[in-house]
Amino acid sequence: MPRRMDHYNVSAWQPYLILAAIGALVILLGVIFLGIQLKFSIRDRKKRKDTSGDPWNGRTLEWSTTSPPPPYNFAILPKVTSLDAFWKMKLKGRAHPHIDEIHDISLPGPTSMPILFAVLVFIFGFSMVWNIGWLAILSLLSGFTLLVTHTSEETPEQIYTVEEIKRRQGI
Amino acid sequence: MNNSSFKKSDLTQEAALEVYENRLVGFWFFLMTDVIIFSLLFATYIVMQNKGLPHSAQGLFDLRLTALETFVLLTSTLTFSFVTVESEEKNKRRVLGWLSSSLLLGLLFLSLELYEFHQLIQAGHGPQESGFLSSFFILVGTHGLHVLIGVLMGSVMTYRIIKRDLTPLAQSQLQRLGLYWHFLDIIWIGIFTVVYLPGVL
Repeated sequence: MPRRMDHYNVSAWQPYLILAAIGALVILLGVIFLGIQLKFSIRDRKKRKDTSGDPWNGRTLEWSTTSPPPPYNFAILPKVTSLDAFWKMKLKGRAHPHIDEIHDISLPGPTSMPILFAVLVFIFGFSMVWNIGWLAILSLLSGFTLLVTHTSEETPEQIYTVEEIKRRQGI
Repeated sequence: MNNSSFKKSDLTQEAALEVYENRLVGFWFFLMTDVIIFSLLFATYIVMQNKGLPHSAQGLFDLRLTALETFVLLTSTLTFSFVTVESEEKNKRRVLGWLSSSLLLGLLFLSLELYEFHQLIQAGHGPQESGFLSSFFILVGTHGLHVLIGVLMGSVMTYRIIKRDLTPLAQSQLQRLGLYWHFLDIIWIGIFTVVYLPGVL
């Protein structure tokens, strides 16, 4: 039976075609429910907004943090002793960091030196493979200069103070 | 977006120490990557051992020169450990003394190695001559390049300690340079075990 017929006269098909028609109605019902779901979800979106980062009561650690996670990853480093670490934390009532456990977190400050240095080392390797003398020396000297200037003084650190961390955690 | 970016001089003593601790951990990670590089070079050398004939390690190396190079490099490592000790004691003058000794020995090592390379090339055993020799020159040459960079950075450090005194930053950097120097020593021991000794045994 091809798909597009303007009429058919094989009565043996009829039971199957009725079954198929009922199936199509079920699908239609599904689409209607989808529409209803969308309508209500959009209508109540502000009320139903999740701010915990954990809308489905997750068991593993990725649900313990925001998406995207903060630059310092975890305010308190979780101690993992089993597979469902977050679930275990929840059972113990320690799903979220206590206020008094939070300290200042320092991270290395933003700098473009590492990627530049890596590019120069790559260029050096490339020029050594293909015996490009001048480029080898040039990239080596540039890399070395970068190394010297980067280490010449204190590079700034990024400090996330306790207040900042609390604000991000929503405490 | 850009949160509190402080300069390290604004950090408290203990916060700065924590930062230097992190730097040290990071430097160990870097050394691990360096181990990977040298492992690959060693593997290449070993694979190329009996290929790329007519050249092989048999009778190619003068072990007396190798022994001298080893002695010089190991002594420089010894002097560098004194740098570490004196740095902890904040003894600026002694640090400078031991540091310059280490760097001079490193320079001596490099001259010996350059002499060795020159001799090999003059005798027709240059890196272009065979696959085996190519892998030899790259392995030992990369180690030599690492030593050169160590000597240069050490010179920069010497200048800074003279100019700006032995700051906590300088101490932290000396610590890492010390790690680097010891690491190069370990690689050299690997080199003379894998490269120079088998050619004689």
